Amino acid sequence: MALLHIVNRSPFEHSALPSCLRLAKRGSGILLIEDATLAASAAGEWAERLSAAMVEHPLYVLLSDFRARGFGEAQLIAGATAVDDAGFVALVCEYDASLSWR
Amino acid sequence: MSDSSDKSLLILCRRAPGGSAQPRELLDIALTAAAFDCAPQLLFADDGVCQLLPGHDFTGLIEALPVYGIERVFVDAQALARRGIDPARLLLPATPLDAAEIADLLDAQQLLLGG
Repeated sequence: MALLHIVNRSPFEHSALPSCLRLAKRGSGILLIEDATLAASAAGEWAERLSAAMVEHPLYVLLSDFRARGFGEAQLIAGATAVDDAGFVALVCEYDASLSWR
Repeated sequence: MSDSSDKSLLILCRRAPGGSAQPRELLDIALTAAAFDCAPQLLFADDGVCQLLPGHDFTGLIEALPVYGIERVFVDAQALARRGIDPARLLLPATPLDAAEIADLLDAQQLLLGG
């Protein structure tokens, strides 16, 4: 099931997420962890770009990392799938391969 | 060993030289994989394209890649253009790719290591 892109850097500080979005093939999944979860704030400036990306990519957000940064499920961008640690592992198993954008 | 050689490996190099040790460590991994008959493909993108320029600390390592059997080296054409880098200055004849070509390249791999 295609490639899973894993991003852990804040899009406010690093190019990892914008580069991943530019270079990911249609149908590949994108999982936001650690500081990259900051992109998933529904009211934040990345919401629009992520919404557009979700037309081509399933988007997953590690909820514990989102929460640890002061956000909750209520603030999560619509259409994203919140996952827990077990869900993270399940995704890595589900996809054919994964790539970490560090 | 035959097991690892069946797998396609791509290493994505995204950091500029001169900062951390990370860019060099990724290349060390590439050489190690090559030594075990699993010559990886390398893709330089973002600030990582600067690793292909002369004048930094590990240019010798870059130039030696073909000697170790690492001959499939690709570079993000847009990353070069955004940084004003003339492809003629690169240490290696890296193949420039556009975004769609990179998307296909990444999708075709079985193992990927990013940096």
